[in-house]
Amino acid sequence: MKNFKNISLALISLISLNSCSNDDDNTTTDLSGTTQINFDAKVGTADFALNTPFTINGQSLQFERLRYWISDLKLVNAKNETYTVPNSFFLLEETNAIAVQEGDYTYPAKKRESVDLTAVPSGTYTKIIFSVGVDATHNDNMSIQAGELSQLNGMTNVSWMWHTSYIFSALTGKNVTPATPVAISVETGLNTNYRTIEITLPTALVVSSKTAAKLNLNVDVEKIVKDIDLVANPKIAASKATLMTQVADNYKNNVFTVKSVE
Amino acid sequence: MFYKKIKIRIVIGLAFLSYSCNDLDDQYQEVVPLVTVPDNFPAFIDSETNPLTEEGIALGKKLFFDKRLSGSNKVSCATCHQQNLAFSDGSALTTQGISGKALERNSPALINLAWANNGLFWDGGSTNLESQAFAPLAHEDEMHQNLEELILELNADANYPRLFNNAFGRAINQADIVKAIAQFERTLISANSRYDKYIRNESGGILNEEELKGLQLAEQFCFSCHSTPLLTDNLYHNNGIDTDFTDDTELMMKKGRFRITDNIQDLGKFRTPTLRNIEKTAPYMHDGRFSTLERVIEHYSNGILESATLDSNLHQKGKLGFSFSDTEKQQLIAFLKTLTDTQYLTDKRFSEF
Repeated sequence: MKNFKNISLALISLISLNSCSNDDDNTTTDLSGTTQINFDAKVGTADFALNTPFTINGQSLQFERLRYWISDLKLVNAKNETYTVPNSFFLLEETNAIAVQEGDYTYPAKKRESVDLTAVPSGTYTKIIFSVGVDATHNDNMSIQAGELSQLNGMTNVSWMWHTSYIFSALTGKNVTPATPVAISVETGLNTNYRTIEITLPTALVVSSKTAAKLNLNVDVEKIVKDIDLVANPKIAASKATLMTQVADNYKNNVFTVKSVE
Repeated sequence: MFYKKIKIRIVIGLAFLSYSCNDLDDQYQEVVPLVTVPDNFPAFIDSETNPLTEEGIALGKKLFFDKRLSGSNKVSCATCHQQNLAFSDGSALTTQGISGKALERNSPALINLAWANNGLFWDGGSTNLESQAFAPLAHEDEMHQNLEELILELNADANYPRLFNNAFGRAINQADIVKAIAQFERTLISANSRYDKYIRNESGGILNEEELKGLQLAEQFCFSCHSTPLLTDNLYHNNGIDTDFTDDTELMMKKGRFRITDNIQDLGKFRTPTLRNIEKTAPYMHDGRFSTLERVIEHYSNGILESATLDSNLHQKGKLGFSFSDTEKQQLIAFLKTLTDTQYLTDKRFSEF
């Protein structure tokens, strides 16, 4: 115990010393410029928009919400070195106002399609890796906070299936083809729905102090429900685990493509 | 006494040091036993992400009893988890939540949760006490608390900002609310029943002949699932109370563990509750369908229903159930009552006042 005490004391001293002497910080590494990853929502080639009918699988669908967690974002450079973005939990969304907790309070309408990174080391990046959803460690314990994870944005479920965890992705709206429109809701959120996507870039993303780098990805909403019969299954959630798996696989294999590298 | 003291060092002053560079004094306090674990129990394994501290436990206790944690400011955790009932509430499906609507499940007793490491809720829908706490807090039929508003309410209190800062070194936030409650819950250890004293050879540990016969029967028929020393195996079983688990509703409540695992083998399975303090935790089963211990014993004796996922222990030698004689039923119940831990039911460390 004595040793432990001494080590702790040393650590505390180190931390304290460090925090007291950062006035002469002469960094030699090249400071990077800003790096932006855009997730541009589309339906096929058209730009995605809320409250606008789109024809998908022969049905006319109108959306009010597209939300998904992008996590564990990584960039891999030409030398195969990986930069992992710290605190990597980003909520990408385009949504009308949401009644959270059965209407207890309102999450405002919002459109957020980009992630701005400020500390990417300079380099030539050839690959991007990210996951859709929240890893099991964070998903199973909502008290471990990181990045944008929060219980306040309506992307958790406590009554959804009484499995206290995050909603990984949500696409909701209505099918306006039938005379009486049918509400549709496509969600993922089981630990087994966590998917990692790896995309090799057609041209390298060059990050340096001189330029602002930008990677534009297409997010094809039509592909989220690829091969899924929304007429037979307008609501995909915990009671439709097989379909949730299919949606998760769609996110992995079909939804994301590179639009351009700037 | 036969206690091993769990020695947990409390580091204080770390947060303090981070913005004060002049004070490098060793801030260790003397060892304080935060929980005591008896010899007949497994080791206490603290949470890695939320280790016990004296301040965290005390804050958690205050929150546990605080009605401001509900949307109506009329319901606390303790409303449905009452100490004199081993932190259960005596109803089959409680209507004490703020909507007044009966809940879908029986309020479980809170006993030895530090060892409940295989899922909480009757179907294991929550992986740890921290996440679990969000469910009753937020659910519209339970405490229905607006989590954003809760921060404002607690910040307006004369003491909470300081207590949170002492426990977690930062301003009040949702995560630390559930962390504090979880810390308090992990200290809820019940291990001083007459049965425990008998097992540990302590004074007062005397079982009479009827109780001893009951213990023998329990060893033979009950402990396979209600395994010692916790008197639960923390697993999920179909104990033959239903045959039809079809449920097309979104919540799939009748499907039991299946709704969490999506595994057909888990249809109709529910978490084994501990037998500890069972005398105080009526009514029984996930929906509180059995009002008395007599009815429970009757079920295991002659009431077991066959289905594909029925636990094999309940179906032996081509026979469903254990066909206890009237004497055996009485002996079993006499034994079960030796599992009442009166100290636990009145311990000031777990009481509001």
